[in-house]
Amino acid sequence: MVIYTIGEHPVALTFVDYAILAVYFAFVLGIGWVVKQRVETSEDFLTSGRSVPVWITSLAFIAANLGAQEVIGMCASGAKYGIMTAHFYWLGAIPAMLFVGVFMMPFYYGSRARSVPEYLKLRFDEKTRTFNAVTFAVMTVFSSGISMYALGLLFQLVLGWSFTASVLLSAVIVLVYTLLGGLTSAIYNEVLQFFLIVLGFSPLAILAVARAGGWSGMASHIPPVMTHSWKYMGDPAQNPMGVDIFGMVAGLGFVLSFGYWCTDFLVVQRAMAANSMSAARQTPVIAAFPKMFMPFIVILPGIAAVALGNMNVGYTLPPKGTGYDYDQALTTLMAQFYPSGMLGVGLTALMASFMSGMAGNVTAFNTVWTYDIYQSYIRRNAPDAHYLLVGRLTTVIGISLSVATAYLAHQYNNIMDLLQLVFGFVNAPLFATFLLGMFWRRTTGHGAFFGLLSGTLAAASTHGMTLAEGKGGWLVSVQEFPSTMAQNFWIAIFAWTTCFLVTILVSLATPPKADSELRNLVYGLTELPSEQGVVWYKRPGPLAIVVSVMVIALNFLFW
Amino acid sequence: MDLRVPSGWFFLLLGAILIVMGALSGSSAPLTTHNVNLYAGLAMAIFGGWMLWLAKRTS
Repeated sequence: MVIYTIGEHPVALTFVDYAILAVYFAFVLGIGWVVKQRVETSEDFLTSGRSVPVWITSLAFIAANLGAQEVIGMCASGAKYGIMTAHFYWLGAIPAMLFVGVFMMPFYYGSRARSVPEYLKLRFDEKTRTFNAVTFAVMTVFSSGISMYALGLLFQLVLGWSFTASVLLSAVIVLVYTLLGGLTSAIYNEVLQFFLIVLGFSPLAILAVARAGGWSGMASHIPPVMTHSWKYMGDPAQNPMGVDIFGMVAGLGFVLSFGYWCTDFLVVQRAMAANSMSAARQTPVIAAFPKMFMPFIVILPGIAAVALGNMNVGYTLPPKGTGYDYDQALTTLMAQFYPSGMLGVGLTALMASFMSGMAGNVTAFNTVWTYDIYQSYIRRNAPDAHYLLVGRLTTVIGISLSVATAYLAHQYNNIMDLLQLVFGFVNAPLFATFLLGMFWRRTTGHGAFFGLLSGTLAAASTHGMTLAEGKGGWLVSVQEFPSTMAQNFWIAIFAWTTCFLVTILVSLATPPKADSELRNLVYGLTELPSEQGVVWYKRPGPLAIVVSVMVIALNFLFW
Repeated sequence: MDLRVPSGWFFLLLGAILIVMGALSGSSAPLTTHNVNLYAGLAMAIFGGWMLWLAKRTS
């Protein structure tokens, strides 16, 4: 019986595995080099000059979000919670992606804003833009740093590499290809990384599930709650996530996912880089197709790991405290099913997923810093070449800050939890602001700003007044939740509702902008290109319907 | 640059490496007897070739 302990390195690489990693680095740098030749203006560097074909923007849309935390984290969640984890995709991501593509992209793209904060400035005012720009800038640097930290930790644990070596190696590679080619380089490499993730992990999913006896074989070796996604959600006590249907649907399905997929510049930036309005609208909808099948690649192995652990085949999840180290599910499975060669591909795919997360965050940070903060407050009317230079410099600074954050997280482990919390507070109310801003002319700048502020405060208060797994309740404890996940969903619900109500009330009490100032920014004042004569599969509406039907079918299949 | 070209070459190359590994040293992973390198390598090489074919077709 093989038992892994923390500190023991279960995976040993050979020359071929390192060679595969080297080939990957060479290609990624090569792509950056080729793209550099076409970068001439700050818009080329920071926004890709709106020139990227739709198949690339679609794959980059999900790849930018598909960091290794998702790959490892979803596998871990699959092992811990079972197929309910798929809700993050089927209930969370997909509806939000369809919504942003069909209903919100016309305003993002039509406004000709170069970033999400810039849209807020055009639609509302400077203070709303600045609130969003600053919080977003801080969040992206920390996200990038946390990606690096997680990479360093993982490779240290699994391969015995030094933390510093992993962090610096990945930082340097990402720095070089984003410095050379900017956003376009990051986007192209994200697509390559996506292919690598799919091709590198699908074999694992297939092998692990097959070895566990297929779906029915797995189901016979694990508790039934792990193979049903809806059946055990009537009562929080019945499922390991500790959530009920309302909390899940409203908290995750609505507020959290829409708050992320519809407003986070990291992903929206990829759609905004598309070469036409219809391409921009199609991007999130086309992306929904591969996205809905990702659970089979990332979640199933986790479930299989638990089943295998119960089958006496010589494998078990590594222990941690009184439970298991679920974060090791993916890597320990790789050690069991991948020989040297494929192992190199798997580890390269992991490295690639970390790097796409880092590069995505850095390029988004770059654009927001250069246009929304630097150009707005520090130096307003410089020639474009100056901003191109600033953009390049910001890449270096952004990566350096990320490296610093990685070390900070290494020193103070609970910094990660704190950051996750703050992200939640800030993200949750955002969707209310955008919803009202894009679909109701009457929404004003003061409404938006105070709505966001009060929503964020509501989130913090909810956290301060409720307890879950020992976390929160720093004001007074009014309610206890069975899990931090349930707590997060409810924080999101309260934050969103507060923002929504305050925005409406303050807007009604303050003067709106004239219709002429709101062209292409809000519903009713925006021209949509005609879709006459366009085939159904190139129109975002019909495509979205197809995706919806497929995802509903998946939900029934895994009921 | 047509991204399909470098993507195609990348997976063709990776696939070739894996196929050679699979053909030469078989497979040694604790929980499976399948020749993972060979099959995965074939899949990657086919994908790479398909990307290159798509790129060539439209140029």
